[in-house]
Amino acid sequence: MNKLRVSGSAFGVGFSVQVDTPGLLAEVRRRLPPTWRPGAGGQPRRRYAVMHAADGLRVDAGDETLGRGLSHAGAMDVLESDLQLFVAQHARAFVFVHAGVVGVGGRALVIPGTSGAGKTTLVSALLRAGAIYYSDEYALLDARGRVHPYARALSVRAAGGGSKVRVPVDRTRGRTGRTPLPLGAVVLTEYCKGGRWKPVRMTRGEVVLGLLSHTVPARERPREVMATLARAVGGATLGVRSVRGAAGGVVRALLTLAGGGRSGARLPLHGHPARVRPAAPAPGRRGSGSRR
Amino acid sequence: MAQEVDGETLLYVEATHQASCLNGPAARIWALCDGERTVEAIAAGAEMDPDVVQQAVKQLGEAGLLENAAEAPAGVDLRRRRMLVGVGLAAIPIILLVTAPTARAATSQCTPPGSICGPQEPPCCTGSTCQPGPTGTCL
Repeated sequence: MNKLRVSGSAFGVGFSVQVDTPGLLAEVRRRLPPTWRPGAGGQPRRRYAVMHAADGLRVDAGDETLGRGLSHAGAMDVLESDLQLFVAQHARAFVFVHAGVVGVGGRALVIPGTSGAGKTTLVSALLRAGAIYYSDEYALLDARGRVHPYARALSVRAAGGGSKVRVPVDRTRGRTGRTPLPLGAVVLTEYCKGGRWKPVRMTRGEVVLGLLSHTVPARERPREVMATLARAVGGATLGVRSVRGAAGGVVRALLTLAGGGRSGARLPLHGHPARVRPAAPAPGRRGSGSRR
Repeated sequence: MAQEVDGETLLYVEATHQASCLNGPAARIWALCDGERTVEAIAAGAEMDPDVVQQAVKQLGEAGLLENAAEAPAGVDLRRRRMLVGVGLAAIPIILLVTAPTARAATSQCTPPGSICGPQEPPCCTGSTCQPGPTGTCL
């Protein structure tokens, strides 16, 4: 048995990580996906190596170099990011959407966004307000469109935009969800200095497109992804989008939104999405095309 | 592939990885586009103004949802645009488009320092640039 290697699987996807010092191995274990299990099972597999070099740490996956000249924290970030993405791309039981997720009143509030959009900040603020933690990284949708937890430790970016710091959820006095939830609300939002929360309601079709824009296997399994997303929003899902200022300023509105997902009657919503493109009239008449 | 959600039609074109959302009127027009019907016939079938149908067909073509969409003439007849001011939003065909992301683009807008960069990767995060070499690195 190689004492400097950890092998396992997460969500049915196998991996192994080889290191060159025991200290690195302990760090690697802290960065493996939630629910991972040791062992050699799981297909497909990805083999990583995190090794010391003259200019710092180097991270390889198979024959591919993912990063070099890295600090310990930087190497762990690169490894974790790639492994999470590989699992998200290849896990067959779920559709992985890059999003923060909390549970409110037995329904999932999903906040899709790319890294740096402020998902963790918003999730942390929601947890402090009593929401139940599901994820600050991925919404996992099963074939019925229900949202499952991906409850890794919260990844909080250090001041100044440097490496991330891991904060266990129980240290924030938050509770972690264990059971799948129906999708209650989807919020497309991004932090904007001085931004004012002014939610615009989205149609369910727009919500699907909003989720699709952050769905990891969108290109690999489009048929399954579209069907799953449509099923997820087909119930009572409410979707809004807006820029936001500080997270604390929108927590109350988001909790109301999640709780009012069935009717949406109490929500102060504004107008129609600006990005719709109503067809304008044009002169001339020609034959139509045929649909794909 | 097509999927219906709450009166809207969702479409995904695998060749371009573009997903579209058609509202009810747009979906009605799209369903009538069989390569045989003229704009007038589609307008009659959908019970819509032919000019609205013409523009919707143009947009459907631009969205890659029609195989042989006719090129719409440039310019807009403002007189007709004014005529449509009274038309309710619900009656106007609306087509939304997104390009499905690659796996990496679904999660990140930028590549962190120290990581490998290149044309297939998101741009380097602020403060670093893609340094040339056998394989580029964000530094």
